[in-house]
Amino acid sequence: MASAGSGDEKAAAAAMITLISSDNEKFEVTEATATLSQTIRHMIEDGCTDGGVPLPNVTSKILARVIEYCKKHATAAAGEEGSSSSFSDAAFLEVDRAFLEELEEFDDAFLEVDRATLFDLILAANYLDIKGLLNLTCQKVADSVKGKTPEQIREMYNIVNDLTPEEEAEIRRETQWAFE
Amino acid sequence: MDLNLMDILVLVLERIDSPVSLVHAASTCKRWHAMIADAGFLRRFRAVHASSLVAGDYFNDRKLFGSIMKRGRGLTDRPSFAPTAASSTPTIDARHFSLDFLSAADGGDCGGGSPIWAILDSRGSLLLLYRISKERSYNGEFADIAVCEPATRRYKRIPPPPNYFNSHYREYKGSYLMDGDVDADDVASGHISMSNFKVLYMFEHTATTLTGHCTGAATFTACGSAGSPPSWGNWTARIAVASPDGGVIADQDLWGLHNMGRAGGCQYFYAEGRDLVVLDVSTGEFSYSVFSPNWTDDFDVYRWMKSKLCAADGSDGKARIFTVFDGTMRVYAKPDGGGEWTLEKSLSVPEVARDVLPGYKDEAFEYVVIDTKGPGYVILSLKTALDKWLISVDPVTMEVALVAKDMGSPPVMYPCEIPWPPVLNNT
Repeated sequence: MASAGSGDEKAAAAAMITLISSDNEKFEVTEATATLSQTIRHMIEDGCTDGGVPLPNVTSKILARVIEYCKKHATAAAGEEGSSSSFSDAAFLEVDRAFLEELEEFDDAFLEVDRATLFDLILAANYLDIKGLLNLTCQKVADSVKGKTPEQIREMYNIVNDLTPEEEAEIRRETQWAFE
Repeated sequence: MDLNLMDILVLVLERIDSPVSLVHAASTCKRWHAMIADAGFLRRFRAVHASSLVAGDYFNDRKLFGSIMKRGRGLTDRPSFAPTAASSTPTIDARHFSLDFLSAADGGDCGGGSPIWAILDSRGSLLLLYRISKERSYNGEFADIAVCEPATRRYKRIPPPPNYFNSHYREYKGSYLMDGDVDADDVASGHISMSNFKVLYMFEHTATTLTGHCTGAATFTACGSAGSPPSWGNWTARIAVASPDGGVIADQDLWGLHNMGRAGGCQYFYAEGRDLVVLDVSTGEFSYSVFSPNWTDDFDVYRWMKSKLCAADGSDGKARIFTVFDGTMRVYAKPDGGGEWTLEKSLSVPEVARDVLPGYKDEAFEYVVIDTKGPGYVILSLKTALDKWLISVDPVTMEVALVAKDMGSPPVMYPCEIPWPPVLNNT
């Protein structure tokens, strides 16, 4: 994207932040990428990011994926800001649309992970307070439940059915409309 | 890693937008159940996914009151159901909304034979039904009504209001389902359920002074928050109507109220003397509304009223009032932020007729009236010396379309929701 460069050239965006995973791996990212996380944004505002930001709840494997997501979405945000002044409205809308489509494709591909990784991403997104990523990953799990029977949901998520047969029958009787 | 970490579990569950899937999820285990059965959780679901709770619409197969006069002839035995086009998947099987549980055996006291059930109103997951005898012709008096919840296959007959038969003359003028008492524990239900609802019953009668007719009302309350048994409250001989200046007029003999229809959650009536009386169906309170179009001289000719003045929601969800006088349809709306009804659009019907009606001739034009209306549409009936057409008008865009002759007017639709919150809290 031509417009991506204009975002990177901004003084604020050029500042680098070091993120440290639970297994002590260091990741250098731009401030624009890091501040998609509200948690890190607050740390930067409080001036406590010198010497790196330790993230004891996030493994390097998951942090790498989270950063991949943030980079893409930070670029998108910067692209939107940068392009609004240099394009006519129609051209801007066209670029915008293409951008959104590309982002959507990126998100879809990003979600092609196994279930354990998906849950780790949710936990990381929750801890780092990255709204877009949290929404994306939680929605993926929610969508996987849709159209499934209780038994299929239990199988998918290793849920042990601890309801008594009486309790189960009671729920079913009162919510007959939800069952075949 | 499992999905049972409380923090993330709730984040996932609140993104399930299908009521059916949510109930399935609630019956997987105790933890998921507890989280979903929580009143706050179910209330938030209603707030965010209100539209996915609408299961479909009920409708009577023919125009109701004409048929009642003929002992229900022309009506099928029960209202029909049209499921909502899938807005959330999976959808609910329409057979869960069959009204076959309305017992034919319940016809013993309606003159023998099985009764006919027609729909009068709906609110939340409840329907207000009118039970009509095939054997006895309707005398204009008490409407035998019942409230039912199709999804749970339950219904309750509503007895006649007390003292209803004490006055010399009374005529049924309509009944409406209203929210029950507001109870903090019950907010997820939107304040209406089989155990918490009200029915407002309106009738015209000879006032106790016998000086004339007036409109009275009584309210049936099904078990309010006080835990009292279902019962009728005292009936009001004259409905109290709040005036625009803030006062309440309680001693007025309103009669011949013309029912204009439902708009913006209110039932609109025209009272002779050019006043609009508005019933807020959530509270049961009446108020006057200032409406001053260019009334024409023949306005108070009662037999014309139904076809000249009505109310309905526009396709944008905002309340509209329509008039059709001298071939001109006018649409009125209240400005955003309040104020009086003001003219929004007008349409010369003979003028558009030249464009949309095949073979239309100006010189043969006789009249145009309102045939029926609903959310987002008004259907006009245009008569010439040679032919008759139905034309549908979108009152927001004023787009006009010819209704195919074999289609006829669409019936009045009564939306019905899935019971919410679902009964989950018994474990």
